[in-house]
Amino acid sequence: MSLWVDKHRPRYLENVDYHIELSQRLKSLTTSDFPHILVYGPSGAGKKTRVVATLKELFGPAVEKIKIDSRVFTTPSNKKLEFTIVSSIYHMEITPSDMGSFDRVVIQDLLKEVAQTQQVDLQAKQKFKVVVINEADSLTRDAQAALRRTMEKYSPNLRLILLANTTSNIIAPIKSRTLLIRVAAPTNDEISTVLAAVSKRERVPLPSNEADYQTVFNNIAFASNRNLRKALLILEAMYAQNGSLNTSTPIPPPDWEIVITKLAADIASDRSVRRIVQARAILYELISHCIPPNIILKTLSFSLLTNVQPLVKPDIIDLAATYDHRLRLGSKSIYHLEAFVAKVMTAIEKKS
Amino acid sequence: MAQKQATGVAQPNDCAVDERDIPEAAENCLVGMTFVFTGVLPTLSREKCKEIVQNYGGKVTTAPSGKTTCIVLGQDAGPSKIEKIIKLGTKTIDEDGFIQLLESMPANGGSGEAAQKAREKKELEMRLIEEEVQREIIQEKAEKAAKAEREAQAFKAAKAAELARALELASTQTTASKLWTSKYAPKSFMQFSGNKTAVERLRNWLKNWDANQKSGFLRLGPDGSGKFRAVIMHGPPGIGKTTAAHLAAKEAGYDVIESNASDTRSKGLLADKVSGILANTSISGFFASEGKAVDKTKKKICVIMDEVDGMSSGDRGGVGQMAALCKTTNVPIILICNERRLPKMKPFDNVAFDITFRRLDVNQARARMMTIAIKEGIKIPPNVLDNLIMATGSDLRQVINMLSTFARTEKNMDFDQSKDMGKAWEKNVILKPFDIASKLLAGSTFSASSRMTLNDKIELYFHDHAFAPLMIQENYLSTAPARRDMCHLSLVEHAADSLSESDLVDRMIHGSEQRWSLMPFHAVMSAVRPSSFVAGGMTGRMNFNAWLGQNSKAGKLMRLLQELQSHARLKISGDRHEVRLNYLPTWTSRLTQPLIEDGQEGIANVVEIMDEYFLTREDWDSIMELGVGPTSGEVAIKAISSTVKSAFTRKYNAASHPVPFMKSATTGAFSGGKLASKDVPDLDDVIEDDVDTPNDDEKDIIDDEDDITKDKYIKMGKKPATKKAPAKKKSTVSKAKAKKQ
Repeated sequence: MSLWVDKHRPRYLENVDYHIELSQRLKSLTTSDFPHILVYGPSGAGKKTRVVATLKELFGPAVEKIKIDSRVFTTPSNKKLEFTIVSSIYHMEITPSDMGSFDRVVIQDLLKEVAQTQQVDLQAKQKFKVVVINEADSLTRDAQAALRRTMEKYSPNLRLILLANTTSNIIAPIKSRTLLIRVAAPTNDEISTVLAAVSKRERVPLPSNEADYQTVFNNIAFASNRNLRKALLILEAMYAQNGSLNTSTPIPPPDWEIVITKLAADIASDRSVRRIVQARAILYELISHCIPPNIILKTLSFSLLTNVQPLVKPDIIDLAATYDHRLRLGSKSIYHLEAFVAKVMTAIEKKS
Repeated sequence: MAQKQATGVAQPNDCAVDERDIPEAAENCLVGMTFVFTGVLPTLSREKCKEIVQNYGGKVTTAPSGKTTCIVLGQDAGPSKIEKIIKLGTKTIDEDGFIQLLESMPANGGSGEAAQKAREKKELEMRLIEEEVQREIIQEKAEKAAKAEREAQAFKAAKAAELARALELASTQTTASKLWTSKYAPKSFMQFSGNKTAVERLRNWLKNWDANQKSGFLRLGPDGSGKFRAVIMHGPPGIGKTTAAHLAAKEAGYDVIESNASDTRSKGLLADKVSGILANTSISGFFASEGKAVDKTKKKICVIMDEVDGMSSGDRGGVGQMAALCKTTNVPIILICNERRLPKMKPFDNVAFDITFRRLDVNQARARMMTIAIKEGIKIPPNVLDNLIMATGSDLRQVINMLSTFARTEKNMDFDQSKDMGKAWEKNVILKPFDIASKLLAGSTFSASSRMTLNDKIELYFHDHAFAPLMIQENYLSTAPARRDMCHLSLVEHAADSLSESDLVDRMIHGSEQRWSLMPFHAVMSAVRPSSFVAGGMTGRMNFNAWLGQNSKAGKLMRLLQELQSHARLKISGDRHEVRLNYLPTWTSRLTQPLIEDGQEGIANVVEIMDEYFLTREDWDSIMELGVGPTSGEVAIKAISSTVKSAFTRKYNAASHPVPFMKSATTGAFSGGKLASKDVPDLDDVIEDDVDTPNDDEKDIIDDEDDITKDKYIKMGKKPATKKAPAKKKSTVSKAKAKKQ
């Protein structure tokens, strides 16, 4: 029994619930010469779902028969690294950022290997294979540079689909070689519609009152931050815990959000060096438990906003922007998060 | 005291400027007096005070005790010290009082009781040294006479002019061209200074060696050395480890075979050479060269392995082989090294008896050094000599070398000369991370009157440029800042911001840009500048940086998460961050709730979800471990009863579960830059018919055909895909076999 989010994932472009126009465009792309594409948008917007549906449109149902392979690469420094590949006979899906700074090796070796081989299956619908690159925005510069020539040179045998959250980390030569497709986050209404459809299919007991019915979904949509995946997972968690949904059903925040919200409240109420020491321990805990530092900063900033005087709010946004930038440029995230906490404390102190 | 106000904020330790003129006092006027300096003096730095006191024959200790004559109290003295002073009732004076004391004390400490005693003690010491010198001179004369006689006899016997000339040459060479260090090397344990217990242990061990061997090294003996066939002596350089080893061997009647870092000591060579020695007796117990008496006691052999920590990359396996030899040897082995705690010295644990040599106290070293100085006709006052000994960190060899260099040009040494010399010969000590941090974070480093320049502070960072910033970052929050111009929070904020900026610099240095010329800038941003804000007394213990530990923990959990995501990948479209942020909370509740609520009945439910996502039992643990805060899996686990938990494990292990793929961990062979590990996927979703096997696999196999014997993994064969796993495996193997044939 899969979770609903995976169970009710649309498998055809026609079934995708929102951004209908985009689906139509993707469909028309598959009929003519398919270009390299770069799909970007926030997580939970439906990028991968659309890509998989597009692949199905391109190659037929065989792309759904996927397997996971693991390969070992040796880096120039003779380190052996294992790398997993998801592939069907027509396409291959890789996450080079799994390899950290060695992603170039994967791009160079693996892509070339695929690209230099021609499709031998005469019944295949397309003559090329598709390589889907996940987390393309966290590819290193070197890896992106390795991509550029490959994309042109081997285009008869290979098409790339890059998936990214933002195009800002992707170098211009790549952007110019791809068709950029933005998948915007669904609006709250769109999310509510999907949630309603899923609950209907799962026969979730819901309030009969039309207004309440809407509020339940709207609340979830709001809590999900326009992330459909999150919204569906919340819906299911709520159902699993309570058995039915109504307006008073509590929306369980994820574990890390609870921790960060508490931290924000603590910072706003007690502004002292001792508190910074405690905050450091909590931040370390979050970072080591794989919460991305930029998510920590974002969540922390937004929950701080609800805790402080209106006068301080612009300062906090300013600081958050500064330190978000530093998180990108730097390597030890704790330094920046800690500095952010210290700066916020003094900002609150000054204005109070 | 105009200067008193000028110095501004007072700091503990040596932050005052030495702008005051020190009056010329009578020679040795502070003899027999012990001083304690505490707090900050208005104009004199602690260093300077110490210098003055020592120059005039006094003693400086750090903590007050019953023997303290006088305490010089400055501002901001530690409360515990003041408490102790009150308890002891010692006389306290301030800086002015100290200067007055200096001016008023007569030469040689006047007629005071303490001064009298000190003088007497000193005289006694000098008398002993004089006696020792006389004795040595007499002994040397006697030796010379005996030797001359022997030589004369030999000369007569040989009646060969050539030989005589050679001998004459040799005898003149022995004294004139010898280094002082070997000339004055102790000839008996009488002359040996310091480390008495260590030497005693060594002698005992060697003395009892034969007896211990007879008893099969089973009895521990009174000092625990009886079980060991070898000893390992360790301590800083220049305190007589090698000398002690040789003396002990001589005393116990052993012929020494020495090997040091100048010899190659690899595993093979040690096995060949040393093990050959170990079963032999010495020839020098039976024969002697022409004109020398046969020393019948010298039948036994003792191996001295000097500089064991110098066994380096050239001596592959040397340490291990040496340790192995120590376990079985039939002759005593004495190992000598400087650093016992190095990881590479680990093999000697429990194999050799540890004998620690410590740095000598000045008092222990003084007599012997004085003897040498007198014999060489150098006039050197005891306090000057003390200074030299302290400056070298009690490295006697270095002191002797310094004396010998000095004697070339001059015969009298005064305090300032010894200070300069000590400074010039100073060993460059690399500070440890803790010392760097405590130095940088000390309030005195950044006080207005500090004598440290910016370069000095940057220099501190370079003692250990990898650790210094981390240590500062770890500890900058636990100081009581000395700066008063901002509140504590603002100071910390500035420091934190500077650290954050330093990380950007660090990225430029260690990132792809490799701009190493920015290192001094990084030093300022990561260590000096943050410290400049928060420097002050530590409020807690200095901690070792947590970043390294946290980083490796993050790495470990990230691997778990990646594993998790790669298992669930067939079902999930999100990347690992999405898995962590959104799936994990839902999974946590879905995978624990049934176990908590329904107990054993819930197990099937949980296993079903796990199978759906190809999660293993380990992944279940990972999910629980990855959570944080009050709703994390680790909290939820506590609500599951242990019987249910073990039933869950049992039930999970009893059934077989779908696995998305097999790990390639077993594939050993490699070819070229890449390796395609051909594991059999154990999956229902795999491709239906063989014909459709991806052609890149085909290609790989063809590529590797040349060296098919080497590549074990080929046996696993290419991926055929049938519905049932066992059948598939069989067919794979048979196919691979067919291919081989």
